[in-house]
Amino acid sequence: MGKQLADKRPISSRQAMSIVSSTILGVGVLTLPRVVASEAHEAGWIAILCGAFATSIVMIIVTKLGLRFPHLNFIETCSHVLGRDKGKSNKLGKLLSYPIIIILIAYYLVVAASISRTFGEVVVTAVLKETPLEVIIGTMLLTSLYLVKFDIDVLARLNELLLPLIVIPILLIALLSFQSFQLEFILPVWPGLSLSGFLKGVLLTMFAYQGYELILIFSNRIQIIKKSLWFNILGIIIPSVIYLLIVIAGISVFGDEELAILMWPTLEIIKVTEVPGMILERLESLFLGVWVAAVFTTTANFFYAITLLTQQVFGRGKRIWYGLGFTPIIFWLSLQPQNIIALFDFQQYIGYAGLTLGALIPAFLLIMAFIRKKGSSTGPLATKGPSAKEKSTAIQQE
Amino acid sequence: MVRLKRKIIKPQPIKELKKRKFLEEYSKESLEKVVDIPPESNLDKNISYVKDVMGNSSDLVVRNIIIGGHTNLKAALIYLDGLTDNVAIDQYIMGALMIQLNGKIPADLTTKPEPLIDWIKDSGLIINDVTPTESLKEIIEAILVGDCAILLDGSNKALLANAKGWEKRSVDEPKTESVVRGPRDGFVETLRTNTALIRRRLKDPNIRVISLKTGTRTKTDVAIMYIEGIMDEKIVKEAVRRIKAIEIDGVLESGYIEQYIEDNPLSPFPQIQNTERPDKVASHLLEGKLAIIVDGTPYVLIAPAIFSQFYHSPEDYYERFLIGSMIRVIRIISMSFALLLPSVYIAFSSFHPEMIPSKLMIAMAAGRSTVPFPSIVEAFLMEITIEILREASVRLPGPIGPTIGIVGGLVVGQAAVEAGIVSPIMVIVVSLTTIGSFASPSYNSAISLRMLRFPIMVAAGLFGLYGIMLALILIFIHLCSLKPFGIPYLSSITPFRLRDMQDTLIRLPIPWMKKRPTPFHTQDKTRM
Repeated sequence: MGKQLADKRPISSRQAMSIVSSTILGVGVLTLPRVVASEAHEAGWIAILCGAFATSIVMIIVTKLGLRFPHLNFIETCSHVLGRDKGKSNKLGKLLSYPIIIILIAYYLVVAASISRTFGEVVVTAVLKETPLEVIIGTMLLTSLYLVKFDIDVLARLNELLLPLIVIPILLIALLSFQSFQLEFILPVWPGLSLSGFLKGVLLTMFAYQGYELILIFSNRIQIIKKSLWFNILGIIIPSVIYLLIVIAGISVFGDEELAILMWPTLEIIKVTEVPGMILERLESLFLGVWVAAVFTTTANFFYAITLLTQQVFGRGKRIWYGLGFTPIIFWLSLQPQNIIALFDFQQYIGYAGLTLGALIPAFLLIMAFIRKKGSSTGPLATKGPSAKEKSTAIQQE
Repeated sequence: MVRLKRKIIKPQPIKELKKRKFLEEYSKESLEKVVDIPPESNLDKNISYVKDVMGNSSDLVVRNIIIGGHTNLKAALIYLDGLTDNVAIDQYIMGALMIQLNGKIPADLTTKPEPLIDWIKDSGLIINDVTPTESLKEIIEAILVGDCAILLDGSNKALLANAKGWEKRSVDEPKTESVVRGPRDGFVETLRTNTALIRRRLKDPNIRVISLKTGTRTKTDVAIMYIEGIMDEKIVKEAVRRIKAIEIDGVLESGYIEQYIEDNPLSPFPQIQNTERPDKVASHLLEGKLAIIVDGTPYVLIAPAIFSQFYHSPEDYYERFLIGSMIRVIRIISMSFALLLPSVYIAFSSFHPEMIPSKLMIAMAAGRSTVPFPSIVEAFLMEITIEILREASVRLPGPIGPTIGIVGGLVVGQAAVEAGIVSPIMVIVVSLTTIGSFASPSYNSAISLRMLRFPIMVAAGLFGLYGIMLALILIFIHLCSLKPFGIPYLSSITPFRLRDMQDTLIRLPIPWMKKRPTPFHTQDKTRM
């Protein structure tokens, strides 16, 4: 059985980690230092850590839910948890799970739209000043559409391939910007800050961690090993390290007061960064060029999840057709905010919605499963006897 | 109306297609049946039949002889002139049958042609490979590959004696894959020589050779070679299945086979490697891949191929590890130059001039001040020119090739700069690109990179660095989607395996590489 399980599962746990990381890393990093500095001031980096911690807890819930129903996709999990037992016709469960799925799809659509819009805005304002916004959004969506055509293992491999391309440049830039480090800007460690203000800062940083919940959709295709949970949490740790470095860099270079009024703080950090050897004079174009990969993985993963969910709902059809249908919808949604201020407001709502949906739905399902005693409570690996270890190794190998 | 629509959209009914296929197969069968009749005991009839089938070709030789001086034992040798070794036929077939058998044939056999022919096979002919046959079809096929058919009057059995011998090139240094250090022998056009060259390196009894024939008219010999115990048998079966499924009249080069059995023939990236070097084939056999050797070409195919092996050269392993690793890194850099340099130039000069250091920017602007075109036009002009030069220098007769290279590269480049058509930086970019692409050890992957450079240039001309990155992502998606023989094309980079990185971007010392690469699902996983 272990062999069968492994055969059908094209995503290794390392790839799952890459999916989590590269989905989280997106446009969030471009605005995060401002958001954090305006709420948590000098304690911004603590807020980042708290945000990472809180997200990891949600991640544990999401992973546990996935491990509880290792053979069911998300829709089957929903209907199984909410409806009657397997084997009988489960119309009730399906009926109850449809609202959840529809809300999720709608949310993913809005997220994909807002990400492509935000990136379009930053590209148009910073680099390609004469290119229309619509063209940037359109090309991004069409490139995502090309990925939707392929099977899920291609998505996993692409995320694994692009993750180093995303992580290494931003780490380098964050480290290089410490040239203009000023200690007095990050001190005191705890400014006279009300707890509620700080908590709001934490909440806002959690918006930047959105995207981890996608692992729920892919969970029945991920290889299960004993360290699955750790790999998933590592997927949150990687972006949190980047966030931490970039926020410390931002506060230490500009100070929190100034950082709070910069529109694209990360780009400003990059502008003051000097490349050793003066090979290149300014880096923000290069950074945005590389960051296309990060934004692409976020948009494309959401896009893929949307088409995968719809395909599972209808139980037929090719994903590419659903993708073709959704492309104009996302495009239209992305053009809804009138200007960048409206977009940022809009993003706040998305953030709240994301927190609610991303945390509450899996938590609700897990609690329901627990109460109704569905699924294996110990996880697929903790089966009886000495075969458990063999099984885990069998699963680990393809 | 609806009916009409249905008629247009509806494909041809399956019944009709089946019927047509059946008819085709039937006619093929009947054609073969005509040929496949047993030889009659009448010698003249047999000869005239063979002549009929071969259409009285002038290179068909029919030599009537008398065996051992017995006038009743009439025989005929049939062979194609030029495909056979004359010495072998003269001395070891005719000499044996006409002179050495004189008076040695047992008396009771002289009147019985049927047992006699078996006797001749066993104790008459001094030829290593003799097969008896009772089918005219086999006789004709044997004649076509260079055997000599011996027909005896009164017997409906014939002998096929191996007398193959034709003009062939001797083992020579490979022209397309030269190395500084390493063996100098390369494959030739003869299948058997090639398999022997591989066997000489791998004295392993577990080497298996599967022989197949492809091409309905060329009947090209194809051999699949692999090491049992290392190779994943599933891949071998799949390769055999794919080669057997080829339906074409002529296979003239291994490229035909490659294009038929590739998983994605429309991809710009090669999924099967070709090589002229026996040492390369031997090392890949040891890594759990199979070699497909095609008669008539020195290019042996290695399947399944993954991306990283296209920038690996046997030399990496022969030099010491630091040198081998450094050469490999340099090769990767030069290949990325070949892919990206012109588009980066376009992006920088037309979209992101602020990134270029100001002093260089002034120099570039001064160089470009006389150029009337936008940088993308400039780049396309130069790149296409250099491609023309490259192609022309391949076709040119040996002695003037380098001369044209100098004239084209130096004179035209210099003149173009002086005439103000292109900027000096552009000339540097173009030459680096071209030189970079030739640093790749395999020609076909270099071509694919050079080809992909043009769409990336267009993307850079439209959207700058954003365009380059989008184009690269599209290429990455495509690369991730390729799975030659079920093995991910970017194996060991993604899916990532730390242990396989020993031989991907760099190469660790050989004693440290104790395991075979994992992507190929080898049965024997350790090297030592």
